Amino acid sequence: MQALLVRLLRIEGASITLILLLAVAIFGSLNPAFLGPENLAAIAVQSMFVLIIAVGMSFVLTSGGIDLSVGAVLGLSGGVTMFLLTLSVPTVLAVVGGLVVGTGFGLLNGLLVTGLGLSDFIVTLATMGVAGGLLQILAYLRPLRGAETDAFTWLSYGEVFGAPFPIVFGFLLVLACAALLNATVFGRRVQASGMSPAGANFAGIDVRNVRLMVFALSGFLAAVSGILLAARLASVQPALGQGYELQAIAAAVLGGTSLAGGRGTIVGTAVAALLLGTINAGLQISGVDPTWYQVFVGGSILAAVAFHQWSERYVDANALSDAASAGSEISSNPTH
Amino acid sequence: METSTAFTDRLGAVLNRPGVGIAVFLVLVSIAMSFVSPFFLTWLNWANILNQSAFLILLAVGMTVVLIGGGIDLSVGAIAALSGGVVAWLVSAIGFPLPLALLCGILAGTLLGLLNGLIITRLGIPDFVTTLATLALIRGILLVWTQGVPIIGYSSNGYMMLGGLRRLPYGLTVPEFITAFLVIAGILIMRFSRVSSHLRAVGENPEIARLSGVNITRIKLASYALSGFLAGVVGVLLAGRLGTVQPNMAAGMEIQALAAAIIGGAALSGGRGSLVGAAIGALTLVVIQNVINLTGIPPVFETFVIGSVILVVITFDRVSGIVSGRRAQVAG
Amino acid sequence: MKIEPVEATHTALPESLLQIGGLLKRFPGTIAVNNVSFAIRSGTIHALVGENGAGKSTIIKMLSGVYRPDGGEIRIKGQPVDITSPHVAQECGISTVYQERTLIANLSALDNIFLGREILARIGGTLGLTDRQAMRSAVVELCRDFEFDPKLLSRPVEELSALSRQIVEIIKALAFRSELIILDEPNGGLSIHERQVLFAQMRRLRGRGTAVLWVTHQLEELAGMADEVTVLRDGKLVGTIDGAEARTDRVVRMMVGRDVETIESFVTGAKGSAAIKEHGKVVLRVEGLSDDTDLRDLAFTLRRGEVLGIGGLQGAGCSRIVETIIGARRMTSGRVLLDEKPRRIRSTRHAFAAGIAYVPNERKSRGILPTFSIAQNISVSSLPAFARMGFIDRKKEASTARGFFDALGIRARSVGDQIVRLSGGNQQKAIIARALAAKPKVIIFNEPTEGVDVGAKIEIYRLIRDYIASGGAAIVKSSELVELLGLSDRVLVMKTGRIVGELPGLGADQDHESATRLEEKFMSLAAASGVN
Repeated sequence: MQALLVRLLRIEGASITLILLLAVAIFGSLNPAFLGPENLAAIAVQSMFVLIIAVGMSFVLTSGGIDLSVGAVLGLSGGVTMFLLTLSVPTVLAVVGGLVVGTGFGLLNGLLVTGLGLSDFIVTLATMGVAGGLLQILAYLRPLRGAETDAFTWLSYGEVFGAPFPIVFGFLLVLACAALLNATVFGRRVQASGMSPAGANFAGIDVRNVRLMVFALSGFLAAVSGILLAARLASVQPALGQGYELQAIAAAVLGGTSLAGGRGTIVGTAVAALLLGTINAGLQISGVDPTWYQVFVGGSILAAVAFHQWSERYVDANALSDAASAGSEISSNPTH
Repeated sequence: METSTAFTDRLGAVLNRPGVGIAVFLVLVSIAMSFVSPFFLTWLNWANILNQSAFLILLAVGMTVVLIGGGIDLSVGAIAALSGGVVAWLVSAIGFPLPLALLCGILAGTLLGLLNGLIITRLGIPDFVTTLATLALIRGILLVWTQGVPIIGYSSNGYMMLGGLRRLPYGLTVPEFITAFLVIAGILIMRFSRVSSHLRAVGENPEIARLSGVNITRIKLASYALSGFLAGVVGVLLAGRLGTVQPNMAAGMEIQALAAAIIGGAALSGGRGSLVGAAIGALTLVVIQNVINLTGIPPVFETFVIGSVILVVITFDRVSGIVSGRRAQVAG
Repeated sequence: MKIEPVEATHTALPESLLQIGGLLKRFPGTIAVNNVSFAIRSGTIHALVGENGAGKSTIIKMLSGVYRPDGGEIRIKGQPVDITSPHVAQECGISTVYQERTLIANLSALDNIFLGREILARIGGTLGLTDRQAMRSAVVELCRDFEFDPKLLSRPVEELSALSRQIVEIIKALAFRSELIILDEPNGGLSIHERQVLFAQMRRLRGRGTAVLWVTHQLEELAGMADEVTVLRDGKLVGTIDGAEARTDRVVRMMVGRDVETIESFVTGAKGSAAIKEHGKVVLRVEGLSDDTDLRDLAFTLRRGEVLGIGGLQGAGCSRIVETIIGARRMTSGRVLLDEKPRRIRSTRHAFAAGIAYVPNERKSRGILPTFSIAQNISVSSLPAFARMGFIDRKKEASTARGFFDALGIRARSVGDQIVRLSGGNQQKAIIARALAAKPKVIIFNEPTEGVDVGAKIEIYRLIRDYIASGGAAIVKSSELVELLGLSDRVLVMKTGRIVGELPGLGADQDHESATRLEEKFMSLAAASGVN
């Protein structure tokens, strides 16, 4: 029983998947309409926007940093794209414009953090204000709506192989990012940098370079998410993206990414983002006041971090006791 | 020759003090603004600025204390809102007398601050995660509780006076006096009490503090309780000023308080910060808002300007730190 | 030569202030303190000596409430005490000057001295108001004794010189009428005069009836100062001897024991080959290296097949040199040439790319990547070699690691185990495997045997020798003299950021000088005063 628990706690994303299935089952039993494929697909699409930035956040957290600007950058990138569309810029260029702005903010974050050695927390808090403020100014200059082209709308409503494009896109993105973090040289360096910045540095890893790339990636993914969201909403409000950074952090830590750095799971993060979306939709469909959702987001972060700390101690304690028996054999091995 | 280097050294040391640089900046902006808008340097305008900044100063001071102790409190805006909501609800729905309701509101804020401290010290969850989560939690609770509908019908002449909506002679207001009293008390405590050195020690190096026999848990708890208390005071006064309590009251004030504290010389890494600096930092932010209003810049620029100011200040601070660090090394 | 453990003679005497019985402390993979017993009497200076890693610091930390013992007991005046926190230690009358700096940079010297033990004002004391005047006058005399200007008491310690900070640390411990004062290597970095002042204070404390537990490396000072000397080795008690009998050579033999013999025999065994061996071309050349601390204009070369030692007292800059060469610190001028080609090394990545691998000191925080597996720790410095199109070939990674298990004698259950679960010696071998996997031209070792047991030490020496024999070149920075002189062909002696001399290593020495003679030469160079 104990061994089973230890093993379960060790499998990345296992517990969060169980919780997701449980949540779907509960909402389904409360209201069978919840389980309709249309509804589930709609929930999945709704979850994609947080999912995409949560993936970026997982990279940043794994590298030992934090990016509070993703919500604002998401909003600004969507706003820039929409702004360009209202100026009748071709769709492709408008999308590229949004991506450039988002990635640029990510690079700015990274440069300030790695180049000047500033705290990532305060830097991204400040760029959150700058990006959010820029969106307000954009929205003030021009109403950010009513200029969608067919191609732009397709980004959120189009279908590929019978599945909504955002879902297909999100799925591929998760696969690619999971591979990037777990199977590549870059991903290994990201993990090492977050686990022990000094250790990684003395092992020949350019930790600053790694962190710069990770911030750029986070900004890029925020832009992707913002552009998809703008296409979905067909308009960009001045406050778009506010509070998304919190949901992204919640999804990352619920999925099993450590806030202390060094350990991250993309699949777990994605499942947790789906869970957040499910709960948001489930509260609405079961007639519970949707304002509870925010309470849930806040509570889940605390619960997830507390649970992690507990489970780590639990696994450690139980793994240590079995390592101790094997370890004594190792250390008693006479040295020659 | 020697005296002049001694003088420049002394001047450098003064300028390096937290808050002094930003105070100089504030004076320069004020002088420049007096040319742009003749209204800027009038007593009426400054009475407005002071009245507006009273709340932010309190939050910034609380934030500075938490920052010195090596923590951060992102939940102050939400705590203020909830405290204000408690007063408004107790008066309007239950019929509590105002003084008792005020006490309950401030107590609620203090307890929430204490809760932050308990989660951080007992569960060992990092400060910013805890307070980011309680920010969302408290805001959420307020939303669920009010159903998004503002609480009204609690206002009275006395409460308006207390909130600074009505003015005393010379355009002064009650919150200004409360703020002045609390800030001066804080400065005196930081100057003459051992709490100050314990707080700095805990913030700069908890291990050394522990080795020296400082009770880290107690210091941490006290700093968060204080921050919650000040947020509670701000919340109940703000409820008086606004006449309604919106669920999103004081939203984003935690960021402004943090910005004010950092502009005033507090370090996120702990151990450093100045209450006077925080007050000047808060005043600066309000003056920037005032300047935006007076010059006719559309108010949508405010967020952008404040974000940029924070970015410029921390960058400048860092760069000058690197440069002066080099100089000191060469001199030594 | 074998030293019979001497039983502590004073255990039963009533004047014992502090008795330690069967003290035990375990850390993952090692036993830091193993069944140690001795007693300290009031009004005596009791020296505690041993090599690095012998367990001195651990014992001190248990006495001052930083660590909890895993076994044994501590008695004060015959009463068993449980020192659960630094605060309890203070209440038991124990105060400690730690080896590491323990001052808060942003607090005034006075606040630092009284941190946690402030004198409260008569009025408002319950509010925490302090009586600064009383605190000041309580230490003003001590300040005079140490020639510390009392005006500086109100300055933040970050504005004080390194020396003044050290004095503040000492005043901090002396300012309280403790019954036991622990001085953990208090005299590193003090001038001879300041050391005399410190000694006078220690004698005065003894005169007052205070017990002083004095941890020191300056063995030649023992005989004049200590009433009793307790010697530790590898976490075990070797014995407690009378201060008057604590001649340096005797204490050294007790401290190193089998250690020095095995190392010496290992070195002499390698001597033949080392002496005859022709060194190859210059691999690494350092020219005019300076930095923004006190490293000035350093120049040296390293040839193929050579081990270059770098040594000096603490603060001499040995660690800074190697960290600058590998790009972890900035150099302000100078250049580094590999195979006579200048290489721009501005980060550790550049160093590894240029062919310089590094085995860092402080293994726990700088060496291992704790939650990575052993295989991942070995591959991390040369990941592109294990990858195709950016994807890591895990099979190749594991098989390479297994190869190193055999070649270096790493003992663990599997290459997939987390590295933190290994013993110190096996962790260190894995870090060396990491350096070797990078196929470097030069390996720089910083304290290659820090925190490993004697057996693993010898194995690591053999690994370094094997690497050199296979055509490598190495720089070894070590604060263990026997190790430094034994491993190196040449030793650069550092002092305050400059190279002040060069000595032959034991193996390469033409004049066949004895180890003790070389050690003396080294110390006279490294500790000489008045050069600058």
